[in-house]
Amino acid sequence: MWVSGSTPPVSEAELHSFVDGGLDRARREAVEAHLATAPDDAARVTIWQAQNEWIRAAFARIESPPPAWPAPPEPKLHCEAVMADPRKPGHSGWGFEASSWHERWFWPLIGLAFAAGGLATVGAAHLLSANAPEEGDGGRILAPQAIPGMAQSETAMKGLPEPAAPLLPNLTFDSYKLTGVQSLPGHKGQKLCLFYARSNAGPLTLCVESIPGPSESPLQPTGHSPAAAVSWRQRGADYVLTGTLAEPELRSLADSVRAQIEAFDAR
Amino acid sequence: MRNPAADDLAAAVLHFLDLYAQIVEDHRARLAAQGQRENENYKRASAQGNPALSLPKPSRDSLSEALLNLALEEREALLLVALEGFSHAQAARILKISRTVFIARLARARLALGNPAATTPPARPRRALPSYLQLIK
Repeated sequence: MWVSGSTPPVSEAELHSFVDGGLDRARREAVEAHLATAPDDAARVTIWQAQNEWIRAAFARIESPPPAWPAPPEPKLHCEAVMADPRKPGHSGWGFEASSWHERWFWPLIGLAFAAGGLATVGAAHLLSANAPEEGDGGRILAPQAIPGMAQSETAMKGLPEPAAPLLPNLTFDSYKLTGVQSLPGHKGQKLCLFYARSNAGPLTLCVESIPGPSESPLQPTGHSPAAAVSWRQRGADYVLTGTLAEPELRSLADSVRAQIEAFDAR
Repeated sequence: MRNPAADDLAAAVLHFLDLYAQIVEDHRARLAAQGQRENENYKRASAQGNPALSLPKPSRDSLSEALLNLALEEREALLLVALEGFSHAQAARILKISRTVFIARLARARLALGNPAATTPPARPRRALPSYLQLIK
């Protein structure tokens, strides 16, 4: 269905995409120009935006991670961060104060996602600590607690030499939340893919694969939004960051990740 | 030149969406089972002459009420983009429908949800703060 009275024409679908942030710059400007001349459509878009804000505000507290999981690690990964107690001031906990609708709809989804992750926690820890990749590991979903170099932290505490595991940065800045981890067959062994999500943007994926020997390479952008990716080699691992972001934003995020890895001190 | 790493990542993202689709289907099945149980409870209580006891009315805020009034597929479409942040194409893939159908569901959901400014904003019920004073008998 086309909305009349604009050049270029703006479709109903584009109005919804405008609200949900799925338009490129040219179409976004076209929609903005259309809305300036179509008060009815502008009013509808305003309502839709308010609905989105309404929903996000209502679910903001129960989107917090449950207390049973370890707190997300700080940018510099330490075993203390992994062991930290999430029950700190301001932490909303499980959100059982939610209404019955939240319990019926939202938590079953999140619970299933965490349950799927929990089933593979042991496998994830083993994968991180083992140098040799296992056969048939593809398709496993790993728990968040197994991600941030848990094996590294444990061996460091015991005074053992660090395994040749890649550094896994933490993207919890900029409102991103870890939603899942998956091990996949890489080019030389197994690679770990971390999935992040932000309430007002599409998912983001960071894949890391260990490579033998220390080597570095600059950021290399490939593809275009929504399938853009930025790859680089750093501290014995290949990193690939991809998402539905525009390339400048993706590159900026990759710079942050790169800086975080560079700043990591294993001692 | 194609980047094999980027191709792998694209496949990983698709796999993630498929996993999400499975979660949505599991949730549908749970809802269906729950609805069936509630119906059976209602029938059983009605047979005993006391239907009011079978369906306790939980307190809901206006947003929960509005979302509950949506059809399940409309609610899924709206929450996948508004809450979960998926793009329309990704949400359509998760729901295993075409993008056109997805937009239609999203439009219906937004129309039915109404104007939040006209209703009371959702107020999250506060949990009772734990008391640090203990009653000693």
